[in-house]
Amino acid sequence: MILYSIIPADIVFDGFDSNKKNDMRLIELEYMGEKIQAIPASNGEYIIARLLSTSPKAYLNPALQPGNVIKV
Amino acid sequence: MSEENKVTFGNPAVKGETQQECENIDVNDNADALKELGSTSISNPKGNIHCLTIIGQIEGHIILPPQNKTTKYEHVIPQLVAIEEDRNIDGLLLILNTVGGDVEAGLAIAEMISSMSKPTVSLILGGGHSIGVPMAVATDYSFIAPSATMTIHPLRLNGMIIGVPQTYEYFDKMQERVVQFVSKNSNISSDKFRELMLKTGELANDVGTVLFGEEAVNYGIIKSVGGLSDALKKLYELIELKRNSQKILGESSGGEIQ
Repeated sequence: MILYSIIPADIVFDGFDSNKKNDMRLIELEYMGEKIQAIPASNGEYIIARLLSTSPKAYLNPALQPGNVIKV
Repeated sequence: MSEENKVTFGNPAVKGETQQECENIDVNDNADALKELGSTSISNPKGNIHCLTIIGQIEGHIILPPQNKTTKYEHVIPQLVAIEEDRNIDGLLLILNTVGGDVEAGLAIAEMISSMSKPTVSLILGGGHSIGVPMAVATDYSFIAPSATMTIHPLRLNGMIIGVPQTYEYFDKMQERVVQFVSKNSNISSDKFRELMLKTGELANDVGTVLFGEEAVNYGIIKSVGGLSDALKKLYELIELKRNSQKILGESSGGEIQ
């Protein structure tokens, strides 16, 4: 891969080699027909982190707002 | 009746109903629209547009460490295919605020957008740097916010390469792909773009150029300075043009059959 970015490569790849587990790693889910990225919370719940939709209407749906706790 | 049912998503929350109810209402809305109109989307007479937001690093073959905010190749490519294929979508608005990223992923997205048949308009907000430049010029029309910047710099100087021969020629070829794409899809010549890439005295630790909104337009890379309303207006204009040309085509082919 060739990085073509204004951010220096050592900042972009900082921590790339370390094998530490990242608990904040987002997972991808399908929720209400839209693809979302979510942070796993306790007892099977997830917190919406990012909505991955190109439909402007999906962003007006209060149930899909980032920060919402959802059960899948 | 159906008009009332499918108006907005916003009302349930205003009424203070729970998330679960909101979900049910949404499902019912879609079902009604599907039954009555054969469509799941709410239509805008000027055309339905979808919006693709590209932010942070463009992520391709390698998952970047979590301090990077990324836009992932595998998310964007299927969305572009879906937008091109969906009969209910008339146009695409591309919002860019990117610091660059993987060259090949960026060029792939740019090629996908430039080969779409539906009208596309891009808007650069904040920054459209490095690999963001080919993505910005890939659309039918491009806008840049007056306060936004574009950094044009050579590929090799802060490039990182993994598992390929680190030769100057290789970088030069990769850089040439970027230069050719930009010059083919905008009004800047490849020589002028290369000159901006290699300019000294603009960046502290690197060669290259930082272009502010207006300057990017003056060099011919971006078509106009503008904001959201300008970009939407242009997109609806392009949709209208496409509809009219299809109408003319439809009429002439209809005549031949008769």
